[in-house]
Amino acid sequence: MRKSLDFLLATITAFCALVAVALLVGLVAVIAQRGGPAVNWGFLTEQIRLVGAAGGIFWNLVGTLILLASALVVCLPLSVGLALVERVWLQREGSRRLLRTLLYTLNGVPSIVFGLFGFVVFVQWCGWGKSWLSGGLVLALMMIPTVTVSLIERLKAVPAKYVEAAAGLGLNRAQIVWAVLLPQAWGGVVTGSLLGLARAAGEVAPIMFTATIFAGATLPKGIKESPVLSLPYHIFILAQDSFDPSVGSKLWGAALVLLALVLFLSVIALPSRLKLHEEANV
Amino acid sequence: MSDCCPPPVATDVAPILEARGLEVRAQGRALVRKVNFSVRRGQVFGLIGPSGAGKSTLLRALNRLADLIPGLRVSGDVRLHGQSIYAPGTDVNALREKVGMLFQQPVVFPTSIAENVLFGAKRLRRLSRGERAELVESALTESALWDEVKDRLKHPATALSVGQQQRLCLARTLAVKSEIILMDEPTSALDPKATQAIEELILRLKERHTIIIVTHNVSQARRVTDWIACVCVRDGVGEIVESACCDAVLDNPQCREVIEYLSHA
Repeated sequence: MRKSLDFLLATITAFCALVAVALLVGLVAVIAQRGGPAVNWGFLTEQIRLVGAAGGIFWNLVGTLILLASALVVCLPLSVGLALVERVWLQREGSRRLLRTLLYTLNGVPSIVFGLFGFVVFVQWCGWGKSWLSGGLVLALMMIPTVTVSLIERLKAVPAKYVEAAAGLGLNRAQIVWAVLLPQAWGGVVTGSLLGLARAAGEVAPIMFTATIFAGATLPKGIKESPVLSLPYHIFILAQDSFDPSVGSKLWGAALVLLALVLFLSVIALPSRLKLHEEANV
Repeated sequence: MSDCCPPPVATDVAPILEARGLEVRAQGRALVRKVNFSVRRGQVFGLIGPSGAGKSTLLRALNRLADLIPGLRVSGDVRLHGQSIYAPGTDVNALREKVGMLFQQPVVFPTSIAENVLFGAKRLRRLSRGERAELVESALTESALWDEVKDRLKHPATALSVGQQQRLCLARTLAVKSEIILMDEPTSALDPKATQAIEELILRLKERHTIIIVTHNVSQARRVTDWIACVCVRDGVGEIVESACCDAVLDNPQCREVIEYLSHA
C-alpha cells in the first residue's frame, strides 16, 4: 500500500514537472519555428521599414537596451540603500516588517498602474513628454522590489560571526557594510538585477505611455520628447494592428529576439543563484 | 583574599578594567548578576565555571559586543581606565578597538592571509604600503605565525589549519593595537598542539597586553592565568562565587559550587 502510494506520488510529480518543461519547450519551439526564418544579420542591424513589414529591429533592440540600462542605473543604488536600511539601520522588527510589506506591495502593483503613474508624474508633471528617461524610471521602480528582496535574503545569509568579528575590531557600521556585508552579499545584487531586468525587458504597459513609439526614433538626443523604439511595444503594435501577412514573420522574429534576450538575462543569473544554494549547504 | 601568592602587580595601581555590579538580562531574565572584579595591567584574568553560567555573555559585556545581540540588556558598570564604557556618548568602536576579542571558533574573512591581518587596522588608520607590510610582519610575528605563512601571505586564509586560523585572528586583533584581549574559550576547537601554541602565546603576550580568558579547561587555567573568577549558577543566575589568585581557587576552593565544579572538571 505504502509502496503504491509512493509510486503514485512520484508519477504525479513527474507529470507536473513534465508539463512545465513541455510548456517551456513548446513555447520556445513555436516562436523559434515561426520567427527563426525572419531572424538574420540584416534583421538585427537594419531599421524598421514599411510599418514593420520590411527591414529590421535595430533601433527597437537599442531602445530596449537603453531603457534597461537606465532602469538598472537608477534601481541599483536605491535597492542597495533600501536593503541596507532594512538589514542594518532599522533596529526594530516592526519597522523592518513594514518596509518589507511595502516592497511586496510594490511588487504586486500591476504594470499598467506603473505605466499610468509614470505618465502622470514624468510625462505630464515633469513635462518630459514621451522620453527614454520616463520609461527607465518607471522600469526602475518596478525592479526595485526584486533587487531589494534578493539582496535582503543574501544579507540575511551572511554569517553573524563575520559581523561580530568586524565589530570586535572596532569597525563602525558603515565600515562593516563596506568590508563585510556588501562583498559577501554582492551575488544577491547581481541575481536580483538580472531577474528584474528580465522581467522589465518584456513589459509593454509601463513604457507604452511613457517612453516608446512605434517608428521614427533613433538615439535620444536629450530628455524632453525623446522617445525610443522598443521590442515589446513593436510586437504589441504589430500583433494588434497589422493585417498585412508579410508582417507575420517579422513579428515572430521580434518575439524570438526578445525571448532570447530574456532567457540570456535569466541564464547569466544562474551561476550566482546556484552559488547561494552551495553556500547554504556548507 | 588569600595570601598564597602576591598579586602580580602592586594593588595600589589603578585597575585597567573593572566591573561594578554588572548584570546582563535577556528578555527580562537575568543571565549573570552582581559581577564585580578588577583586572590589572599585564594580568591574565581567567573566568572559569560550568557551561551556561553566562561567561561568554559576561565577556561580551566588557567591550559592548553584547549590544549586537538583540534582546540583551546590560546594567551596572564597566570602567576602562576609570572611564565608564556604558556612559552616554561613549565611542563604542574606539572601545572595541582597545578591547579586542578572540572567539571560540576562529573567524577568518574569505580573503588572503595578509588582508586578514590588516582587516581592521587598514580601515581604522591610514597606512602606507610600507607600513602595511611592516604591520603584517610584526603582528604575525607576535602571534607566532610569521614563519609558517611568510611565503604565502597572498594565499587564502581559509586554507590554514584551525589552529593557524586562531593565531591569525589574534594577529588581526594585535594589528589594531588592542590593549586588552578578551578570549572566549580560544582553544576549545583546537587540537593539543595548537592549544599549546596559543597558551605559550598568552604567556608571552601578557608582557604587553592584558588578557581576560574564558576557559573550560582547569589545567589550562592553571597554566596561563594569574587570577581566577569562578562563575557559577546560583538560583538559576550566573554569579562570580569566588575570585582569588589562580592557585588559591584551584587548590583550595572555599565555595561549595566551585568545589563541586572542580571535582567534575
